[in-house]
Amino acid sequence: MNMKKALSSCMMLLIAAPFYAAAILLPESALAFADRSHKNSAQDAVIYMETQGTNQQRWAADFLKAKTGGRESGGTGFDPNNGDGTQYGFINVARAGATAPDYTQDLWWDDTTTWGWNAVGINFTSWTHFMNLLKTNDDGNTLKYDNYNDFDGYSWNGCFGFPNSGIDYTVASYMNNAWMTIDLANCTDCTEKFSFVPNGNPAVDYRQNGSTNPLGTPHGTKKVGSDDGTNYNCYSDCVFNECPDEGSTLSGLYQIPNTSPGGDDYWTSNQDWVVFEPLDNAAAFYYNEFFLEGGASRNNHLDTGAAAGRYYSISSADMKYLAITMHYAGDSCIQHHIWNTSGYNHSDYETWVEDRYGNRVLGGSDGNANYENYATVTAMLRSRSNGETDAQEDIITENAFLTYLLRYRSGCDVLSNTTEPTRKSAGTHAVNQAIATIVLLYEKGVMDLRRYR
Amino acid sequence: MRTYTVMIMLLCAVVIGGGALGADPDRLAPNTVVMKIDGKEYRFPGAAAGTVTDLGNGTVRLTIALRDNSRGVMMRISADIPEDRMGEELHLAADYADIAMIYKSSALQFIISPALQMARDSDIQYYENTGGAAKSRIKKRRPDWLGMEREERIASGKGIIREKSMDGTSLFLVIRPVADSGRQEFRGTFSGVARVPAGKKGTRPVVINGGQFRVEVIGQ
Repeated sequence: MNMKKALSSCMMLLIAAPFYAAAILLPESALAFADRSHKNSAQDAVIYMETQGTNQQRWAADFLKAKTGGRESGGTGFDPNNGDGTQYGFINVARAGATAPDYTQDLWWDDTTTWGWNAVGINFTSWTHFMNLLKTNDDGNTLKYDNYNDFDGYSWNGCFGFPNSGIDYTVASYMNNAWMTIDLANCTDCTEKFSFVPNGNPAVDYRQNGSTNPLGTPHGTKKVGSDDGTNYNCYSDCVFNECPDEGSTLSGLYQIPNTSPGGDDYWTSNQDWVVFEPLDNAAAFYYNEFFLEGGASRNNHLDTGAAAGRYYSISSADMKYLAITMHYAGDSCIQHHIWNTSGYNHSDYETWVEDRYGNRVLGGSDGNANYENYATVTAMLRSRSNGETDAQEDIITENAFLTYLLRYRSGCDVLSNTTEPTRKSAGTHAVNQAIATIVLLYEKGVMDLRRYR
Repeated sequence: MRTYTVMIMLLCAVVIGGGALGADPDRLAPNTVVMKIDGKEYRFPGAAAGTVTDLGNGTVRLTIALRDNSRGVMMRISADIPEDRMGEELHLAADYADIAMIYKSSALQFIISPALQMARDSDIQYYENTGGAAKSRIKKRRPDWLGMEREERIASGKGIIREKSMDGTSLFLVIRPVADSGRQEFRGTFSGVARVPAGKKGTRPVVINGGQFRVEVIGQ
């Protein structure tokens, strides 16, 4: 028996043991903005539409209020699983939806010592809240960003800091050769699973916008995807080189996954790794499949026929799916979610913004908290190339590009700096950019219902 | 990135407890790690190995990796060092060096990673409007922190990477390459403090002390 097989045998014994997940201390790395900042930006977007918007945006806001059941009360309500309870009325559903994706329990990872949806102290679902626009890593080496999508989501091998030390590397080492549940609906061991859609299954659900992510066949009671050549069969083999596949190199780094399924080399690290779906794919799922189509087809692309009539008949309960997409708009305004890193001051910056804008008093004028500026939002909206008639993914991707470029603006680089002026400049820009994008996406949501009616 | 050595996990039973840890990694059996965590002694004979990974940027990663499958324990300590220091005895602290530790068992999991790192010079140039709002004049400039000393960067908040979740943690590592009968080994010691959740939003320290290792670097 060779060494690798010996290890695998022992691992199987371990898997059968009654291990349990216990949280360790890790950064709340992917809660971009954070709870209240997401809520406030959505609320500010609604108020902007009501008070500053174009005639169409004002009308769209009224439509949304009517369909949700009222402005601040009424309707079926929405519980985002964050402890706040059920929220009613458009503004409260908008606030709840904008933070909701951080509270799903739908990405389950398994390895020899941990099992669950948050076994490393963060909610694993956060890894679907990134879009990688990086061309190079911190060393200046070319990074491949388009393995399965026009722009991939988070991956350790696609991180800005890859392959150097930092939180991304430490988490990749911690997760190592773990594998993910790819059929959550039929996972009998996922006893705490929680999704906002019936039978939620992000591995398949978020495979939108032409994603070519190879999934594999679910195995066992945990329904993990452990087939060779598939994506979710290994987080990163940077400690113990036990992942099944080998990729190809670019700039001397493993950047192209699964070019040799099963062709692993036990002597070489980081040759197999997961690439998560990008945030615009998650947004597309909630927008196309459930807001527009009401779950009628669920086939990873928009069927306008399924949206017919929903302009008239959409339920107040289904309005939450539009609200949920706004979380991804917010995350795409955070530099770290576009420069693809859990480190580089990620959690500290988000906490900083949360402590200020997250605590802003609605309608207040505190320069250290009320970062919303409707004149700035108007300017940002007028500068956009994509409007409500364009694709949702294009609106979000344009927003991501603006966030990517913000790091290059003098005094806005929050990956390398922790100064108050830098964070305030970047945070103010992020807040108003988020408000602008949410306005645009709410307007688009209403107009798409009308367009396909 | 290419690991040109491999970890060989010799799957032996673990001995937990068992008296003093001893003071000299030279006296350990090959591929053995001993340590105290939370005051409890652990000995992992024959379950560890060392690796050297070329990161391709003038840096190499030295790793001491432990897996004891019978106890469900996995640990890794790594140090990223300039490749020209490969043969030296290194005394490293997470305050100043890129070293990290992960530990996983069914009962306890933690990571230690630097709470503060210096940002690298990634050749970024910032765009600055030097002409005012009415008459834009855009200039490109390099970060001003590139010319700062470490302490100046920390004091100013420029050119640094902070990880507050690692505040209150520490890691110290001594690693010494040794050639023994033609085989390369890493021998050394480690200690530190991790923090793990305790109650709602609270944390408690986990003390790691008396850590010693003697591991073969196989494939040199």
